[in-house]
Amino acid sequence: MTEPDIKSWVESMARDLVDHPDAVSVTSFEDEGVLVFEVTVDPSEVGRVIGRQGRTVQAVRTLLEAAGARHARYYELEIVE
Amino acid sequence: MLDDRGGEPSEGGEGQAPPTEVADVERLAGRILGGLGLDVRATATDTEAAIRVDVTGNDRDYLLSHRGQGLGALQYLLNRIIYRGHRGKKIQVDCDGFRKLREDEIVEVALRSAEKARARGEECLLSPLNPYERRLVHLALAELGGVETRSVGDGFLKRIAIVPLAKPGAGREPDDHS
Repeated sequence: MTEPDIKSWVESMARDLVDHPDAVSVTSFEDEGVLVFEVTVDPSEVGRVIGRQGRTVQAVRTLLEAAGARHARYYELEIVE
Repeated sequence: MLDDRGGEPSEGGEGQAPPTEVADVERLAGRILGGLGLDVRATATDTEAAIRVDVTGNDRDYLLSHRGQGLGALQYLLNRIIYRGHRGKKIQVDCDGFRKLREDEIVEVALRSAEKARARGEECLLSPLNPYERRLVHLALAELGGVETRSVGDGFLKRIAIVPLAKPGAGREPDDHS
């Protein structure tokens, strides 16, 4: 399987989690072999994507890690506050 | 934590989730896993206790590493996105019975540790567990009797301390709390 469009995946996850999907944007850059995604959401919804004790963002990171293992890549996810 | 409980279904009785909900869960699970480029397939079925999502396929092992963390993450996100903080029938993700196996193993280890704690009269600490797993252990050890359990630590994962109850004499009574 070829490497999927992980940026679109991150974007769709963020949209699914918030009430204002239009305010979601994702930028990505490569940093020493790591593909970093920076997610921006409506300021009122930052807590929603992070979740209690960071659990929501951690769950997304866990799935990214599984995908990374599958595609021999490193992905990182940051929520812009 | 709200998302980890069964809670009341949003409508109707305990028995059935609305069919659209089951289809939505299956579609969402398929989209999440497919978008990650994992060669797996998700099938959702409505059972009495939960909406069960079964994951099968060649790439399932990627979701099972670190004690099934990937399955847990998928389960958490499905509940979060489908119910958006409202209560509903719990969505539970499994993969060829992996979860059941792990649960059996956790209870088995807890029972063995409790026997040891009781025999030695020493407190014993289990590895970190999530709330659902802790509940299984608390219930199993309450039934066993002779020990007390309490959760130790902060956050989502906590450890359980098994404390032997001081019993003067050798006699062991059947547990008296019903």
